Amino acid sequence: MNDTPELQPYVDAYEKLSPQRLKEPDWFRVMRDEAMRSFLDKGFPKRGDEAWRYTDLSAVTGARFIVEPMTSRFVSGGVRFLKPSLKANFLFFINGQFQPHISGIPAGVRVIPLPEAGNDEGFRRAITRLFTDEMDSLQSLNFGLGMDGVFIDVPDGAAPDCPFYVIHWSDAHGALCQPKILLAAGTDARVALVEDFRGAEGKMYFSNTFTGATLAKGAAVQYYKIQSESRASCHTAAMKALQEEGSDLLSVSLAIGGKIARHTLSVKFGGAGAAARVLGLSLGADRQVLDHVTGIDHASPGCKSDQLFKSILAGAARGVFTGKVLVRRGAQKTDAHQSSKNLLLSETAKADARPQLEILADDVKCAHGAAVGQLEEDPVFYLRSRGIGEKEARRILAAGFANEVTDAIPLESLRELAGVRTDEKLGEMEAEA
Amino acid sequence: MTDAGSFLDKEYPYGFVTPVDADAAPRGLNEDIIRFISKKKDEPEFMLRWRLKAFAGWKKMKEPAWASLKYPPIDYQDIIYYSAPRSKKDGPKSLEDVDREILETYKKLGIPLEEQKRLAGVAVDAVFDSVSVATTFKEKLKEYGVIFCPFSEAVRAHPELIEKYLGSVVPVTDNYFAALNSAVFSDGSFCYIPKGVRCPMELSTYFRINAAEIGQFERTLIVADDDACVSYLEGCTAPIRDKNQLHAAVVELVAHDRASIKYSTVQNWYAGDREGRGGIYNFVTKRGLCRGQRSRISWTQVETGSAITWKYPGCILKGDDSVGEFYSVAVVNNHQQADTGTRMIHLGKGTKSTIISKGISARFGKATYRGLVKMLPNAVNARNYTQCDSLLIGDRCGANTFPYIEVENRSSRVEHEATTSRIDEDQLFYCRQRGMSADNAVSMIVNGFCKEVFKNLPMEFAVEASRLLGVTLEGSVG
Repeated sequence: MNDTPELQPYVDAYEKLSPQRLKEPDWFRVMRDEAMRSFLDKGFPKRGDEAWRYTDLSAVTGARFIVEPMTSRFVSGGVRFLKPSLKANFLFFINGQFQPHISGIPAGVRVIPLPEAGNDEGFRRAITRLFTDEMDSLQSLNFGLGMDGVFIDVPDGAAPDCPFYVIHWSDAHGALCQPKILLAAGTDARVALVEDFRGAEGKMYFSNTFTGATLAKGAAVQYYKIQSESRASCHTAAMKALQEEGSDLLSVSLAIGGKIARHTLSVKFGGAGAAARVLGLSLGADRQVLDHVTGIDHASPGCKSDQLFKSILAGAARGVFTGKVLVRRGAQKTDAHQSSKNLLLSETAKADARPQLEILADDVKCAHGAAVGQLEEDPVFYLRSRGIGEKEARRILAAGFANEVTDAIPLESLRELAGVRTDEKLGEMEAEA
Repeated sequence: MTDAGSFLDKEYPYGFVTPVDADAAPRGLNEDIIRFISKKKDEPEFMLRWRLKAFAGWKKMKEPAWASLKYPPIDYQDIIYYSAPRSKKDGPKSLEDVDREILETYKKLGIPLEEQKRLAGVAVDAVFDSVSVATTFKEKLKEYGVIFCPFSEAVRAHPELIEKYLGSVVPVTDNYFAALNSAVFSDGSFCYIPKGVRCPMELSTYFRINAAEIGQFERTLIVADDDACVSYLEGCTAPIRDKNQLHAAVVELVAHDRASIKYSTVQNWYAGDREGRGGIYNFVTKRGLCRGQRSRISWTQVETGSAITWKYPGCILKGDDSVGEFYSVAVVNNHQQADTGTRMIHLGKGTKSTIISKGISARFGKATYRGLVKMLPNAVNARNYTQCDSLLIGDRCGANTFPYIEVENRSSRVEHEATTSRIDEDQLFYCRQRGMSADNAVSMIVNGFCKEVFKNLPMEFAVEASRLLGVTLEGSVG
């Protein structure tokens, strides 16, 4: 056991939660205990940890967070203003707590709040598959202490006509928000899930979220994440997808807000012929640290993965990308591609890239590429020669660089929304270039 | 097609043992052993202090575990740290004094030490276990002011140079194996090229481990003063033994203004047998410092031997507009493991580096490329291009690519590309259809895959490397 005093509040919080934990079924309690033990064993990631080489979490480890649910300054209906104007089934979370009374649930799909999901067989199956000992200590913390969340069960062959749009709003100073979103997509089901993280500016809170998706045979899942947390907050999110035969995943992550933000995406191919297309965009300004981590586990033959991660960095921001492709023994006919492209707009911005290939099968096509640089002068000149001002020219080019990621979103309304958020941030970054 | 077993018949041709009397230190490592080595070498006081400092540092360090290598723990007290062929009192004065057996050894290895029979233009320093036994062409080099001699001789004859440069690129506590080497290194080569001199011939060191249960810890230091230019070759072999032997070397290169150093290695230590028994554990620290402006350091390595290779030749590009290069071919067959790559640290303005790495894995072999490219804030307009390709032969081998890219200024550009694939069936078929044997076809395709690296080797080395590659991979395609 890790005997650091910084972990004591978490031990205490776990004790305090025991009445709630006692209401949960046995298997769930065992899972929590295991997760909590694992978290206390490992403690928070330290600077020396190879996986955290570039991202310093000491702001989180040094701070005291409040584990109990915290109220918002809004009466919960008030957060409806956060709703973007697009057609979706909106699910609201405030400071990590699910707000079922204002959330919309369509027919034909089960959306169960986590505290009530314990006895649901589908939930048990999904969460036990997603809970593995490969999790890092932050994911363990989420499994140990995170009480709220939703389980979305999309039955075989179902295709809800609009996406599930989860709005996470945080505005309580010192809150520890640990929601879990679990999505089970049945055979040949088609579903889109959006997670939109927003926060009250200036509030220092810690979002440590877990999103899990199980894709049965032939299922197609689109996952979009727009992270616009408060610039004083820390955000660490894990997204994990388990894919069966012939399933298809599209995942797009936009990192815009947060002081320190890391999005960890892991995909495991558990059946042949599955495919995953994974994209990410980090827009860093000021002293932000935006970190994308991916791990694609080709555990089955004939699967295809394609990754594109970009960052645009201004001010003294730092963009980090660590991407691992693991091709296990026997995973023949694997096609894996990975690319990391980084654009530095200022003298003090930093970019770190670690694209990694670990290959144990021979009949494979695997490639990765990484590039770091600044805007080319020729295109700037080209635009200027057509009467466009220097600043505007650079903004157009940076937006063009970013669009390669947002253009991958097939839902038009969402693509537009992503474009608006991207442009807003690029406008801010312009001042720091 | 030939069956994979035919590789078995290809014995490691350098696996013989030379029966020479050896003068060895007792097994184990402590301060007394270090004093013993230092005394044997008749070293000045500063060297002993330096060694003891390294030893003190080493004791506090932990063996690194981050590499993708699996091997049983090494018992550092079960190694003989010094072994020298017993020779006449003051060591060989000339080639005639060198033990016949040793001369024969080098002849068998294809490294003729007898100058008159030498192919034109390569001066050789031959290191046998812990000591340098012969250096050729010393006189001719002297005319140009080039110092090329065994390290132990340099410590006595040129202490001022040694004191100035030793450990200036690889500090004593740089890493676990470098610290160990600094404490116990026994010999190696020292080379100094004075201002404005282009070294008239290729310099070469040939390392041979002969005695059982010793570790070889050699140290090479090459200094090229302003406008100097040198090309240096390194080769190595060892006898076939069931027990693993440790080799922990340190190579330091220093290039002053406009100087250029080209360092080529063909590493062919004994790799262990088909089942992975025996073989050399090769833990090497190699680093070059481009100290002056427009200086250039180029590493070329062909790694075909050793049971385990842990080696990251790198360049610190400190001088403005300096250039670092790394060309590598690593071949692993049977149960060999190689974790190798480079580090390019860009400090100066306009510095450039190129990395071309080719990994080939066959049977149960595991090859890892691990590299770091770092652009510091002052490295304005710095540039790096990296290409790492892996070729897999057989479905039980593995290839990893772990590059680290760290950029801290916007005007620098870094590009990295990597691919992993197997030998294309169509290419193989094409060659076979034209009457080539499977082995020849593989050899030809692999040689093509490695061409960019081989073309950077000096001619004779390139021929040897390409032949070695063919032999190593023979029968790996069944």
